[in-house]
Amino acid sequence: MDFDESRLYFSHQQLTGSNEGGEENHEEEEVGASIDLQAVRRHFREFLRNYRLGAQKYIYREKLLRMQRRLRSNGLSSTESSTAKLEIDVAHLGEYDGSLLGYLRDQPAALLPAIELAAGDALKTLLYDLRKENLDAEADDDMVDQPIVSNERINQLDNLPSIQILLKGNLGFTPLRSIKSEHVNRLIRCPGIVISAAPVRSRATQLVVRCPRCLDTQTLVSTDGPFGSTVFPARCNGPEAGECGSSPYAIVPDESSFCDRQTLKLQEAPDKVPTGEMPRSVLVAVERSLVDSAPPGTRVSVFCIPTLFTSSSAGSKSIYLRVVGLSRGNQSGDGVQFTPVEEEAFAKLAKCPDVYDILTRSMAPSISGSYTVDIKKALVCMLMGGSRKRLPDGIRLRGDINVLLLGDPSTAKSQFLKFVSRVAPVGIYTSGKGSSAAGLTASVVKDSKGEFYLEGGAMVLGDGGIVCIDEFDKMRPADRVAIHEAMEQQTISVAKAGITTVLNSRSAVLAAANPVYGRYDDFKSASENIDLMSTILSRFDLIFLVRDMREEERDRMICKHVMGVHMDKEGGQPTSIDNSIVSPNGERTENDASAIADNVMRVAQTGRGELSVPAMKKYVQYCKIRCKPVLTEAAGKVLTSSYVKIRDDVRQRSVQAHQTGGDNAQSPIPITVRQLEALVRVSESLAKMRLDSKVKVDDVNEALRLFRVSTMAANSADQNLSDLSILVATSGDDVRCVQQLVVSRLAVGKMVNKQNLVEEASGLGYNASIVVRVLSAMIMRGELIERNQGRLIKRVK
Amino acid sequence: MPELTPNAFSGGEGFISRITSKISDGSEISVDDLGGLQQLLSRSASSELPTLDKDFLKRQIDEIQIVHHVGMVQNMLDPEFYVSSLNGRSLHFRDCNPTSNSASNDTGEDFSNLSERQPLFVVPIPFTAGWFKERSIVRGTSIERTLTAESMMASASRKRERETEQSKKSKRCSESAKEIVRMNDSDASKRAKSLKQSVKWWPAGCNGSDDSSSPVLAKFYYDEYMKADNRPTTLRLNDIVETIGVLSMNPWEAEFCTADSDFVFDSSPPPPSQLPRLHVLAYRTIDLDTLAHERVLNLTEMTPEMMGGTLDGGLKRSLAAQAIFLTILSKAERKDNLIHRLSTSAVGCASLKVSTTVDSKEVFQRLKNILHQSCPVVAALDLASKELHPFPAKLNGIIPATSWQLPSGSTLLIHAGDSMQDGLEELLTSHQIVYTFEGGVQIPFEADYSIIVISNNKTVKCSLQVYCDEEDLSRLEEEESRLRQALSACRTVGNVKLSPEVLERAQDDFLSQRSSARSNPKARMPHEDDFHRWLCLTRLQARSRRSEVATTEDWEQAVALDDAIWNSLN
Repeated sequence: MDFDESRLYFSHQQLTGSNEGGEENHEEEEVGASIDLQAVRRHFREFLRNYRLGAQKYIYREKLLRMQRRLRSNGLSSTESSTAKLEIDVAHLGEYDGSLLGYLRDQPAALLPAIELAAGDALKTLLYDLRKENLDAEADDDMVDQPIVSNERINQLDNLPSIQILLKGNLGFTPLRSIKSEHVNRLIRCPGIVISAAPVRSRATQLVVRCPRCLDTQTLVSTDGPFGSTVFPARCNGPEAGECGSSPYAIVPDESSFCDRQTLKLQEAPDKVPTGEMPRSVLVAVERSLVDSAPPGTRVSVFCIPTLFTSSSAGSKSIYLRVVGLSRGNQSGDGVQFTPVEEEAFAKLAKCPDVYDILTRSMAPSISGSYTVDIKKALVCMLMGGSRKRLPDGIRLRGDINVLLLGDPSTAKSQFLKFVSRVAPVGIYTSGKGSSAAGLTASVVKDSKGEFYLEGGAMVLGDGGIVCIDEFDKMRPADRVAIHEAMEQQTISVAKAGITTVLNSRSAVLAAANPVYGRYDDFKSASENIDLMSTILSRFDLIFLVRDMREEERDRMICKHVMGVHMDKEGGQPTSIDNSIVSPNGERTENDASAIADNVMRVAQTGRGELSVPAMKKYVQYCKIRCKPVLTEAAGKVLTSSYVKIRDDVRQRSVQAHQTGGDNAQSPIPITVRQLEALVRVSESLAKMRLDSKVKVDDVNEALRLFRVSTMAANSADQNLSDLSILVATSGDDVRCVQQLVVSRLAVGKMVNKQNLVEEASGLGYNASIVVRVLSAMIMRGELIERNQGRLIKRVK
Repeated sequence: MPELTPNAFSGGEGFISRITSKISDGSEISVDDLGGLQQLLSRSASSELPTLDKDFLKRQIDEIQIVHHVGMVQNMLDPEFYVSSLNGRSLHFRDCNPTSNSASNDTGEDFSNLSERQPLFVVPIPFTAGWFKERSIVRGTSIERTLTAESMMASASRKRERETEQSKKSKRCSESAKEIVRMNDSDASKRAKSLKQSVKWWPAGCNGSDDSSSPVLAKFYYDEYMKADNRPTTLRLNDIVETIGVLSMNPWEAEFCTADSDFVFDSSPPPPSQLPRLHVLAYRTIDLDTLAHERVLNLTEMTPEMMGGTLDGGLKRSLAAQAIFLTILSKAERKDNLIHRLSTSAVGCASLKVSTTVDSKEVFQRLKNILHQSCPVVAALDLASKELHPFPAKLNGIIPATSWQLPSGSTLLIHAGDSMQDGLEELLTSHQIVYTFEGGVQIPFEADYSIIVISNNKTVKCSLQVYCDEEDLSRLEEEESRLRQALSACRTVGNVKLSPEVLERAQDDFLSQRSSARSNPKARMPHEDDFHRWLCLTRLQARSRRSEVATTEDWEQAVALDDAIWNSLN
């Protein structure tokens, strides 16, 4: 606080009108003290003038003057300046004077008009100072001696706009479900999703009314608040009141002042709804600059004053929220806060050399099997995401990583999806079978009054998070095409029923699909097994072919999982697949900050165990907020050379396939610049999970490895088989003959050199490619096993 | 619940009249009073208090009338605030307007005596079977009548007669309702409007509910109950709830539904003449099985041996009959207080696909009749004739009545034909139904129903599948009279526990079958779904003999039954 300023310091003791003694009695203040609004106005003006960050950064002075310059440059006068706003961080106010913040929290509706006037006063004094400086630069020393700029002189300044005060900052959240009568007329902060918006209407702030007979004119100021009313005089105030009759006044619209007002509906996020209950929603009123600032589907947190309106003559009242500050939810969900203990634990975890492994094993721990390891790694990368970029020409590049799991039933794909939807800061799970294009993107709906409003679909509601779409292959192709724009441009354009808008859908997509024939057919090419267009496949950064490997380890895993489900309900420990226990009141037991910090610290220190779901969720949020890694030069070079090599390999394989006459020479998953971007994103995510601002060469190498075992493996499987599939289709007998040959040649328990066996079969007139393929299929079925790095094969049954 | 003083609840009319006068005088309802009402509820509320139904609403109603009501929570409205005291008078548990000023209270009002209450839309239980309704009416009018097994047998033959009577009664009710509207509303246009609104909410007899029952807008005072009980159970959608409350029929409320059209996105509730308000003093959630158990007589005479005989003698000779019995016997087994969101499957619940070569429509009709005689709530949906059966969706504050919104423990019979409705797969495999709320928000809700689907479509996948013919249906019809008793007795058994021996045996069997299937390509490879089904059948076998612990014999029987079904299908 600036005591060296030439202003009178108004202490908070002066805010209450009835506080005579030096001793403060807080209880008395709360109950009976009336606040001196003039003192508040003066005090807040001084806050705006004098609050500074660091040595000389007077942020509110700068903001006010910047706002004034902007309004002037736009040629807006005071009456049309709906954009005249000033955002105040409540933390700054609390730091400057805790009492002032306390009063604001307790009686915001009473204080805000005075505060808005104070902002105008502050601007006037600043402009006055500037003018004075310009006129008489040498008078600076004299100004110091002046106690305060007199109101008369200030009012001589230009007609300044009324400034809307908007609040922001880290006030604790009050969920919509928890708003009680004790919150009425107090300042709170609520998270939620805007689900519908009414058309913008005008509210009269000052009405000019005139008697048509005697032309007596009155100016009426409406009561404060978005639904404030104006009381008309019942009788004319003119000289001949008796002659004018009752209710003589008529509104003069041209001379009246209006402001914009809009009503929205705010609903709690689906993941905050206790099981078995319906999402709670509440009416929200926004004014002036906040109008049209949050389209439906936007996650927001609002500073608001819960206010009552009478909803029926029986005296019952309902709540609406009068908004005094609105911020859009960030990509990590509802403006999450981290305690110092959590931050310390997260920093410790990030420094662990095996943080990647810890996160991987914490991902759906009950799902095991060698085939799941790389999938889990990819999902961890997906949760972290890359860095969103904005190019100089305004084009945005997504940072979200899209993953497709394609494969046999009963390979835990859906469980992965459900786990990710729970561990992601914003997670939406939907089944493609029941999802339409409108349900995934957006739709225009008619309300009870016949007006159209916009409803966001899953991709909009999942903005900033992950949308998990199960049964992706069961979607109608037309519905699948609808999410093309959402997956790459991360927007959804709507032009229906006169509503034209673009909604954000900055969400990653995790999809699961079955092959065309339900189960992956070894004797068919990948392109025949995958019934998805290359346009959609190319939008996935990583594509995993998940095969049902018939091995005992997997059998035990299935057994453990099913028995876990059946034992869980009997009171045993919940399985990790579904360990989010929600009490009927929606309280989550593991969400406690100290429990999260303990869990993370224990894992980081011992290097053993797994992160709990809430701990992992919060760590992901932390990494996403705190870290935006960029590619180093060395990493960039490795990436470039690798990408060129991959493209070259794919081209050569394609040429070879074309020469052998295969129709499937073109791979189903095109390797384009999108895949290069995918590699960048995966590399960034790897750096992000250890909170490193630089993407290193190792990150790029790991990203390349993941890319090879996923997308490239799926692609090359198709490439290798492109010519073979033709043969298979025309010579099914050959396949059976080769199988019989292998069985007759190789008794159970016997081992041979694979290459020798292929050559032997070739010598008998069989196509070598078919022999290799049959051997692979038998290995998949568990009839043969490979030994000595695949050089030998042994028949086990 | 705190300890009650000895004279807290003496029971009978004296106690009720004391509560009535307290509410009337504006005295505070004490913790003891609330405790006493809770006791009354769990003991004999239906016999000591008038039941709120259409017949009761026709009578002259006192200003403060305490009534008893049973229904299903169909919709949850936004909470409302009310002035809880004025000039020293308590305004809890009643509609009262302390001020006539309906303007918004933006500033300057004292909110220290504001309290919150939660309005829930409670409707008559949908799709109730005839015998269940009959008992409901008997209880409501306090006329004791004994239903014997013989009378139940005879009731089937009197079905047509009863249906005719019901249709006449429905007509009479509808006329009476119109008369009430005529009395209450003078303005014709307002009446038409309110009727239109009422139809949207829950018209009489909607979704096969008892048309003599009345839906109510019940207002729950959770904060008040908390004073009597530290942790009241918050009601959930589709819960069956029994309530004691103060009836409010004040039509004044209906005339002033909204203050400003800009405030309201949602449709307002119909006037009290159409939708009575009930200020709930005490409530409890009831299990549908418990309710059915109370309404099936002679159960005490039913020994396990008798029941075993029923099943051994009749049903066990038919695989389909056995599978159908086990399916309708299945019920979700959940922990009391902890609910897993998005669980992969509802343990205990079963769905059955019935394939047939005979006319599927006829099978549907016959099964419908059998189930109506056995189960308390049966929703029979013919998807083959009607294309669209929308899943529940809230729009403008209303959840339009759909056939999918049922209480836990209901039976759902679907004639799917060759079609496969979107979202049906999730219902059949995961026992979840996705409800859509405003803003396109979709939330899955538990659908703890026993589901039977009649379909020859291969894409319809249920946890069980069986082939059914004429003979199987006849077998079920023969046992129809005893099915209700057997079901009522067995379904009230608590969660079935799998003993460690069963789990060990199950694991060994599953692993060995997987292993042997690998070595023999022609053998059937059991998957996760199969294992889940075997354990589910094991539970049902234990439940069918009214045991809470499954044994290895149950496991063996389950696997044998599954094998027999598998062989019959092939």
